[in-house]
Amino acid sequence: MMRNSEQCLHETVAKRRNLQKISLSDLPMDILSTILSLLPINDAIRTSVLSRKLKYVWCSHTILTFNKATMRKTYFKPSTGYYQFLRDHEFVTRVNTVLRQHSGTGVERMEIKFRLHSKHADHIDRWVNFAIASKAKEFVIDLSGRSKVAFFRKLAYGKKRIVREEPYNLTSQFFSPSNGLHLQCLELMAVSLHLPSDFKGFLNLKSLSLVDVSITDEDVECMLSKCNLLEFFEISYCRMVTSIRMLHPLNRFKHLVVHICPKLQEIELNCSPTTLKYAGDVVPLIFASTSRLKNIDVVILTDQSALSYIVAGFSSTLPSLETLTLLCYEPERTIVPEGHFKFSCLRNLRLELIMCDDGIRKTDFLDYAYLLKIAPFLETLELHWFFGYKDQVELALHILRNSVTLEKMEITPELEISYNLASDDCYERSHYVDGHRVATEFICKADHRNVVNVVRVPSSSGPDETAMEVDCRAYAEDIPSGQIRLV
Amino acid sequence: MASPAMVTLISSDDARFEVTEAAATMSQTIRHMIEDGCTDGGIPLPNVPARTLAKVLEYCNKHAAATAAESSAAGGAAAGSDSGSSSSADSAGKDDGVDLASFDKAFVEVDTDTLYDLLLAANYLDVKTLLDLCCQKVADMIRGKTPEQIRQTFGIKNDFSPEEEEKIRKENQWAFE
Repeated sequence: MMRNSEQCLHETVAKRRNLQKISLSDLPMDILSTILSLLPINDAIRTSVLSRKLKYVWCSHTILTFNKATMRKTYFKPSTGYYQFLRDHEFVTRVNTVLRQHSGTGVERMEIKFRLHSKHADHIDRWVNFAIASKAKEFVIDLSGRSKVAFFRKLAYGKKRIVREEPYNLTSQFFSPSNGLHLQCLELMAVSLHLPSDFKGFLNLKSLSLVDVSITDEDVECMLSKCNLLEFFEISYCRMVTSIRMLHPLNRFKHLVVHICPKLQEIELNCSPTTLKYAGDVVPLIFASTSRLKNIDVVILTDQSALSYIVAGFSSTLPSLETLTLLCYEPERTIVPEGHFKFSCLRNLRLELIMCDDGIRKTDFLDYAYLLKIAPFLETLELHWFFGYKDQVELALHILRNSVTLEKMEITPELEISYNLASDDCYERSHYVDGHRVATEFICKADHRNVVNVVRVPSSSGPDETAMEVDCRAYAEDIPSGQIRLV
Repeated sequence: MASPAMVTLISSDDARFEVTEAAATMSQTIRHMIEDGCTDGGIPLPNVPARTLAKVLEYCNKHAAATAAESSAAGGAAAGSDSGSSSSADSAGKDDGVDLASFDKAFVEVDTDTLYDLLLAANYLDVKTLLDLCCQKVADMIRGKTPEQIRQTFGIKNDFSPEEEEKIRKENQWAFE
């Protein structure tokens, strides 16, 4: 490649002496190809009509991204005044045409994102085979036609299943022993996966992501035990999975992401990850060691006290933990467990505590003063869902006064409607309890070291439906004096 | 601190440039020459004219200096983490990042001829980040334009007959709609 461009350079220089002016087409082929690979495939294809020299340059495009954006035609039709959506068959035909013309080599990444299913299997099989044959290092196939956020909403808030056609079953050729060598990154979304019995693993795979994939516990275990270089594994919205097990040790493994697998009951990994991101019910988490865990981000969807999760959620100690993010729905007060828990490395803590209450709140934020005991070297603390409750204010003040190392306390206030007041009048400003105002008045004033930062709530969280949804019956009783209420 | 090692580079039109070894070795080609001990009397670069070499070296000097500042800031932060100097080092590093990004952006605001020269030189000298920067600039100049606009921007002569061009458009009709 180098020689090729050097030769071209000599030619170019010679040419320049005669012509004085060169044009884009005179650049060496490998540079042109690099430039076109930086463009989306549709823009790259358009360069084929520029000149003879440029006609086929796009055919060695190295990043093949096929989605609504790159495969569309003009989607607004002025003649009809309607937006024209890209249909299945149009998408399929376009991808086929592009792949037929492509050189089929040097592909770095191939990505297919479109809502397709088992009916399109013949075509998708062919694309998968193209990715294998072109030795693509990264392969992404997402047939859901939606964003991950959509999955989260549906699954986190009740709806068990997103109705759709029978998912595409990934062709077994993809797993044949000769193919696994080039693949470094694999992302599968909204497909079905059955490993053939002769699966030998992807020997260079570093990153694996399974989102909304029909896969059995056995195949998850097989996949994890046969990809020795794996560093990153995500498994999200997989409805069949009840356990995630990796018995074979994976020495390079670093990052685990598990997001709402509704039937999940246990995670047992024979490795020592550095980061963990988890959302779902409380399940036993067993690692070979938790000594390298630096960053934990947990969202517990069932009732769970964050404090007891911090001290009892992990089977062993977390000596390296630096950053902890927790979102919990607190049902009631926590009996602080006895013991000598210490997170001597914990520097950053982000707490999203959603206090559940039916009429009268049974929780007390001041319980969290215990944090200072177990994490004495806290440098940054983020408090979310700050409504300006009396005990919330007290907690913030307590930590502010007693922590020596605290460098930053970030408070994200919420604007909340008071239950008793909401019913009688329309939503006047005076009926809202403004967490921002409370934080500035009561906490910032006590902040002599300039560590508190109260985040400005975007105006959208004003008196609208979202504010209405938040239940704050307890507040009316709790309110210490008229001072906090806005006048 | 010892004064940094210097090397002399000689352009195709015999202009001599004295630069720090750190800046010069951002070019893999020059790095290999230095490793092979071919530095006596200066390193000849027969493919790069003075005008382009000066521009390339402007880029290398800036980036080499930023790298040096970053590593010394990181070293200082590690050494002085107890004295609370880490936060100031952090912010200095961050500023450098912003500064470097705006330097890069301004650096490729040049006419197309200069851009081609830079591409060819970066390719020959094997300065990967500069090559990437220039390729990205050209790609940005192509993005979203019609073929006719692209031809105009880059002075490309259409050597297809109208029939040939029509045929190519037909093959990937959707991309031209």
